[in-house]
Amino acid sequence: MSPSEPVLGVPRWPVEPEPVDPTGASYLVLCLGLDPRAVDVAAEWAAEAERIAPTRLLSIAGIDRDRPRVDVALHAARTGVRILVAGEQYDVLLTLALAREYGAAAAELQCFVVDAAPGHPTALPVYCAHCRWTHRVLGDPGGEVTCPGCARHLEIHPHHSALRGSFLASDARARELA
Amino acid sequence: MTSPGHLHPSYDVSPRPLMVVEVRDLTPEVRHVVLVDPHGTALTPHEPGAHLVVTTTPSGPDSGVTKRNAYSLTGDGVLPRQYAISVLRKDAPTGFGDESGGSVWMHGLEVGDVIEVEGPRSGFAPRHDQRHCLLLAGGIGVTPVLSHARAAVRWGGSVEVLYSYRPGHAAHLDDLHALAEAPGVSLRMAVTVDETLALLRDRLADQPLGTHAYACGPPALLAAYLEAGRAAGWTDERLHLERFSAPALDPGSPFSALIVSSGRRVDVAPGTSLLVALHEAGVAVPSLCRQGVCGECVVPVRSGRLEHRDLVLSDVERRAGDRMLSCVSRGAGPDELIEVDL
Repeated sequence: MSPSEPVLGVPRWPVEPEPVDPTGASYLVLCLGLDPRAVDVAAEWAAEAERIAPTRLLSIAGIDRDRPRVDVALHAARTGVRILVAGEQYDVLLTLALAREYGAAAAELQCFVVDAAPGHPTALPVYCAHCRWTHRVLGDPGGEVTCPGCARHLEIHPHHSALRGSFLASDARARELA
Repeated sequence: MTSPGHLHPSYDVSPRPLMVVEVRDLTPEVRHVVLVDPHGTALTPHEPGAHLVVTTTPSGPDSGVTKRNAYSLTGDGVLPRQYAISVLRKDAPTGFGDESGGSVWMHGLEVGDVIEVEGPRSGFAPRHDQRHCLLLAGGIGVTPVLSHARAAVRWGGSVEVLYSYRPGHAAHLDDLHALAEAPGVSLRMAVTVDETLALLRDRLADQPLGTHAYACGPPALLAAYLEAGRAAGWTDERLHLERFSAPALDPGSPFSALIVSSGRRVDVAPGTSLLVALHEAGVAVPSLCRQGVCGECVVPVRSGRLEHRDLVLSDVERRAGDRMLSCVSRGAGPDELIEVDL
């Protein structure tokens, strides 16, 4: 694979926030966490969306803590809504997966992450194939970490599941074991 | 009985004889016809919204002239012992093709008759990842909608049905009322154009996230449905529809087609379709609706500018310029020469 080819199975993040899709009949802007850049982006999106159609801005501390509030908002959303999500990768990936679970399609979702820098480990949702749980882990796709659940030495595969919202990880030393 | 592709006869979709076991008038113009396998074998299961292709002989059984007409199945498609279709009698030719003879012939069927049937074919299937289903039926467009509604009920999904009809001409309204007794199913009706438009606007604006909509009805209703859906923020991937007729088309310009395999050139006059010209030249192209709504008569094209007049191909497929629906689409502009890869 040449360096110019995109790595398949890994999210590709917009460098700058995309403009709001003007075809929505309503908007749900989700601000995840307190990162100033995320707060700014969410506020700009909400202001832009309000000029088009009824808009709801929901700010939460994080998806793990405030998932019920997002559940309520998605449950109340009607088809025709556009959902815009800003925050750190961990929260954004899991929130997008939750929105898809409620039936949102790719064309109805927009997102912006504030902590995507290649080569710099960030908190990621990582699904351990052994303890079968999604953990919040500081790491990089392709990197190695210790599973907070089962203490195995895991390799985070460059394979992200849009359905689960998480990266797949498995025992990095499995092939060395007798 | 041979069944290519699958060994068990109850998965047969090739043309085969089926027997009429019930004929019932639902309205003065709509007749319900129930078919079974003459040997009592189970019939091929199908997706909701699938249709049968019936070989009809409108000019009489001895004329040698046959037509193939598509009719939506009204059942849910799960392990069927019988196929049920409802046929609107069309006495006058409509649109670009002439569908009238087939429906009149269907109305002449009696219990015990054996007819040739192909399919089921799936062309209007539900999305299996839908969270909720909104169905819109206009007139005889109720037939695939009934199939979708029954399947939703069988699998425990939630569904809202909108039915627009003329009073006294509402086929299957009793069936829809019975379905609406089930949990998660609702039925709303409209009997005028204004009521229908208001209902469309109202209901498309208030569906849960993840809803997919399916509509079948006359062209004006489908146009209103798409417009109301887009106005309510729906993306096109959520707005499914099945057309059973198309608006009338102008005769078009003359053009010529070069048949690649034989090198023969066929001239197509205004008012004549490429399909008919190919048939007259002895090139067999399968066809069904002859109105540009079913996609059966698609032919591969090597070169030449095309005027697409069908309702089947996507924008991407049109831009590719490598295929056309021979029943309605033409060479772009007078005297265009297109190369047909047949």
